[in-house]
Amino acid sequence: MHIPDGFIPLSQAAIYALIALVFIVRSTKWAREEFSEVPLLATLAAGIFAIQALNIPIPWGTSGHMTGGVLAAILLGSPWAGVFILTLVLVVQALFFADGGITVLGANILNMGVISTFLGYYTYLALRKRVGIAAASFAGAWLGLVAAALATALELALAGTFPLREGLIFMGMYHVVIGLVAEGTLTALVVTTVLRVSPEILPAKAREVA
Amino acid sequence: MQRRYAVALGIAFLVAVLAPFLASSNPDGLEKTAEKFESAQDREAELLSSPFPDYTVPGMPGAASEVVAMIIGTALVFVLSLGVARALTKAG
Repeated sequence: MHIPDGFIPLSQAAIYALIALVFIVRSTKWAREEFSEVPLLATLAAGIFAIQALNIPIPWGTSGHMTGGVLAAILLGSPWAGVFILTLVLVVQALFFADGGITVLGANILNMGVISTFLGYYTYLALRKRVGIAAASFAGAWLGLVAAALATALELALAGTFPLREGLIFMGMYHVVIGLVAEGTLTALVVTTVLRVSPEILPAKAREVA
Repeated sequence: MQRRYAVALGIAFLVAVLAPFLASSNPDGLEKTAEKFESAQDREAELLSSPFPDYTVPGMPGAASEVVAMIIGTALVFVLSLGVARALTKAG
């Protein structure tokens, strides 16, 4: 759901960029003070870039890919990890691959890096003890993706690019399914695999299973 | 520890190399939604000519072009993340 240039007027894009910037700055504080496993972070960022290219077909002649903010937050134990990593990935995609616009970079970071990550991560935390790590990471990642899609539809409605109601309906419908087959499934798969194969590479906070 | 990261990074590059062959070429959810609305037509603007448009290397043929673009992108994200995170950690 990378918004291209032209879909949001500059004045509105600037507001999203400012909001995103507040979160990005705070995420650099996390990287500076609360995190030290730099190779783990860089590896995860590379993996998220790669998996974002894997579009999975869904009905209606459509496809979708994982975005990965919730995965980063769960694995590194902080929603700021998702903001930080998605920012790096989205910047590279916009500057080098024409995937997502330059002027709307803030909006894309806000949707996939901030909204998706925070909602998904806190959903995961709330559900973890009750339903277990696999189901909680699936649910968190799914909800995060759907929320990001609806936020995107709202922004594009404010921009006059999509009609509000139909925009929400179609963006919601596609991403409910993409969330199931891509975001939810892959997040749960990666989280449970890493915790089983090598939990010791994760920060203590991510390993807590009360 | 280092070895685990190497394995994980290897998996990332494996996904990157396989993605061009496995990925669906259907429009994504946003593109498909945009196709439905008159108001979204002809709005898309390319403001910056990117070096690897649509994850391809210009002038390179077929699948090789996409594979190389994905390898470059994955390496770029890895190095950039390493650099930025390291600079921040040192500053803090």
